[in-house]
Amino acid sequence: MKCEDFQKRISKLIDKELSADSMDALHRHLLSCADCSEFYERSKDINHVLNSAILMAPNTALAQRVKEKIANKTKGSMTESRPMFWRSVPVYALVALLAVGVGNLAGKTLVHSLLYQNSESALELMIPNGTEYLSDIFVDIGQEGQAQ
Amino acid sequence: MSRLATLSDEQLIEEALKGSEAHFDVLVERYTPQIYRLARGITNSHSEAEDVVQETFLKIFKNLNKFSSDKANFKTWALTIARNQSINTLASIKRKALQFFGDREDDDPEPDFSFNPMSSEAQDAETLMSLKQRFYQLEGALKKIPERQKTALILKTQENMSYEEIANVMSVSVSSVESLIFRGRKKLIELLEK
Ligand SMILES: [Zn+2]
Repeated sequence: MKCEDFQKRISKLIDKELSADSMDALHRHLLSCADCSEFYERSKDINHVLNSAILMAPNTALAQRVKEKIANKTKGSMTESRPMFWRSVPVYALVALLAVGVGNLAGKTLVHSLLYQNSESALELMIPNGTEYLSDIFVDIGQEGQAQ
Repeated sequence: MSRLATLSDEQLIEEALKGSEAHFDVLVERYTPQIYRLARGITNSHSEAEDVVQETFLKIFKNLNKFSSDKANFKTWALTIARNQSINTLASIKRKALQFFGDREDDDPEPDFSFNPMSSEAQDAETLMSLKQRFYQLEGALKKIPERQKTALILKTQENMSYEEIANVMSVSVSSVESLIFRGRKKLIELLEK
């Protein structure tokens, strides 16, 4: 086995992913190979430093800001979208009445016009943001993969 | 610890879906540090990482009804969303940098971690200083390795996830994760030697 193969095992050993039956050969190699021993020590050291990021927690205010933002969003969807829909109805009713006035609703009744408007708004309420589906969220994986 | 904080992710999601913001807030508290660390690792920027955390939770909130605990656990799902958000952010940072010509150093110079006083190593101010210094040095090297190697290394070393969990977050095979982490380590050692 080449040193590169042992170093792959070292990487797994550090990650606690190396199977027990691969350990013996690795330990024997480490006793006799300076390069792999150095790789082991340096990898452990990098791990320790990377792991220290855990000790350095992000600003505690961040979670608070996220909660406030979400609270604002939920309030927003309750108080903004609905009045906008109901405000728009009288305008449509007025337009429709004017159309009735000239005796032509382009083949549609007043009720039909209002219902049509109604269903469109209901759909908008159900889908607050049409672009944010899971498929969008999962887009991009693999796009940067080719470069490596 | 509040009573809600003892509930499992699945219990919190169930109540959040019934409209309880308090239950969703516990998920925010629970996963903000992990999402922040991954986002910071990928974007190399404190302020961008904070934005990624906000955007990730908004997406989670909007799509919570589409989450299925049969297919993934919440942590894997949340980190997958955070990773994609981070990659998009990184791409837009790069686009902006190109518009202004040249390689702008895009990270914040100020130390932006606050120390967790609960940890035992916090008692020793000198250890902390040296760890911080070495962490910032390592962050410099992390910038230079590919995103996939970086993400796999961060999820392993900081979040202590198994290769299998990392494979789920990154939608790759377990052997790919193994290889990404190995190559990432090798590259970091090389970079730190220079
Ligand atoms: Zn060797």
